[in-house]
Amino acid sequence: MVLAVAGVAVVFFALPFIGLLWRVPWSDAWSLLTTDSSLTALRLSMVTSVSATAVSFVLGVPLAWVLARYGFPGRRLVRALCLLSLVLPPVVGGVALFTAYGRRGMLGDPLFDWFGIRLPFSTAGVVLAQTFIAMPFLVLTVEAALRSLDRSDEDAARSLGASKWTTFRRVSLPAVRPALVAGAVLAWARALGEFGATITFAGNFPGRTQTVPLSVYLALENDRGQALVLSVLMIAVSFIVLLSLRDRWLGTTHEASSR
Amino acid sequence: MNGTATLEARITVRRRDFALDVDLVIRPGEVVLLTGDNGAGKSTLVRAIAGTIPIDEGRIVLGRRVVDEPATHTFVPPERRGIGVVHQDARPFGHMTALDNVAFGLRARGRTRTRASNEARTVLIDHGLDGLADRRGAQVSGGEGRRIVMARTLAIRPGLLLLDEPLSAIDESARDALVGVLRSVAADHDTAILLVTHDPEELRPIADRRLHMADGRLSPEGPGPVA
Repeated sequence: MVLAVAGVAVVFFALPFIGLLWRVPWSDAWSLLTTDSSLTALRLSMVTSVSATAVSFVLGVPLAWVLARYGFPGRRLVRALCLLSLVLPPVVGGVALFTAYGRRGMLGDPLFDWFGIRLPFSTAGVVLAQTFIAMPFLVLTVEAALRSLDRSDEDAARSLGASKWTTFRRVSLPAVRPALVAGAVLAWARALGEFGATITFAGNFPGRTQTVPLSVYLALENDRGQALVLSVLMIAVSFIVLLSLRDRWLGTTHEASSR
Repeated sequence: MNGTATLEARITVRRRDFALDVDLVIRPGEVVLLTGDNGAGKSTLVRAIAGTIPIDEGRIVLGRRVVDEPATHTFVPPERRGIGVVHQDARPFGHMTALDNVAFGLRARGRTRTRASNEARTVLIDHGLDGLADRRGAQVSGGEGRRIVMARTLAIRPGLLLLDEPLSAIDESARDALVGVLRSVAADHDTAILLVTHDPEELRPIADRRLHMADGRLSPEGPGPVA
C-alpha cells in the first residue's frame, strides 16, 4: 500500500520530465540551443548567477557565522528576516526590491542622484534579485554546519593564541568547507533558476536582463522548440547539482566537522 | 612563554540550574588534581580560567595580571592569557597536519611560517610523534590525536596548563606516553597544572595536591578515606 502510494508520487514527479523529453525536437536541439537569442540568455544567466553566488558568499558567510555564534536580542527576528525570501513568492520579493531600489525607492533615488546607478531593468538588478532569492540557501547550509561544529576546536585555537579572526579563518572555515561548497552550489542553482523576482524587478530585456528562465517563458509563446530545449538544459543542470549534493544538504551537514 | 605565575581565582559562574562558586590558588609549578562527578562544574572551572566563558562575579589573577574581573569590566581574551588548555575529548584540528597543528600556536605567537614549522618539528620529535608529522588531524587515532594536542599545547610553553580528562578514551600506549609527558612537565616545575580526572590514582605520584568538586564547590582531598 505504502509502496503503491510512493510509486504514484514518483510517477507524479517523473511524468512531467518524461513528457518534456518526449516533446523536445531532438534533431534541431543543437541549432536551437545555439541560436543568438539562446546563447545571449545563457551567457547572461551564467554571468549573473555566478555574480549572485559571489555576492551571496561574501555577505552570507559572515551572516551565517553571526547567526550561529552570537546570542543577541532579536536574533530569531533577524534570522527570520534574512531567510524570508526563501518562503516568499519571488514576485513579492521583486516588488519589495522595487520599493527599496526602484526609481522612486528608498535607496533607488539616492543611488541614482549620487552615483548615477540605476538598478531596476539592469543586469546589476538581475544580480540583486538573484542574490535576494538565493543567499538564504547558502546562509542556511553554512549556519547549520557552523552550529554542529565542535566549539572546543575554536576554544583550543583561541587558547593557543589565535585571535577570533584567525580562528575563524584558519579553523572554523576550513572545517565547514564542504558546507561552503554545498551552500554556494545551492545558491548558484537557485540564482540560475530565478524567475519571479528577476522579471518583476529587472524586466525582460534580451541581452540585459533576459536570463534563461525568462527566455523560456517568452519562447513558449513564439518558439516552443527553443523553450523545450532550454528547459531540458535547466533540468539537466539542476539534476546534476542535486545528484552531486544529495548527501550534503539532506540533513547531514556535520560531516563537515573534523571528527 | 609568559613565565610562571601564581593563579589566584575567586570565581562565580551562574547558570539556570547550576552555580560554580570557587576559591582557588595554584602556585608556580604546582600540580593539582581535581576530581568530581559529571556535572559538578569541573569543565566550567577550566573554561572560566581559560577565558572561553566569562565569570559572573569574582576575580581571576595570573601573576600580577587581572585577567577577568566583571566588577571592573576587565576581561582578557583566551588568546592573551598564555594558558595552555587541553579540553575534554580534545582532537587535533582535522584539516591540518600534525605539524601544522603544533605550528599553529607558534604562528599565532608571531613566529614566521618557517620558524614555526621548524620548531614544531622539534616538538614532534621530542614527543616521539615525528612519524605523524604529515598526517592530517582527521586521520590519526584518538590516542595519537590526544598526544598531538598535548604537544601543540606544550609548544607554546604555558605557565599554567589546564587539562580536562586528558587520559580519557584513549588506548593504553597513548596513556603511558601522556603520563610520561606529564611526569616530565611536573618534574620541571616550570608549569603549574590543574588536571581534571576521574581516575586520580594513575597521576597521584606527580600531584602536589588534590581537590574535589561537588555541586560547584571545591574541597580539599577526595571524599571518604584517602589511601
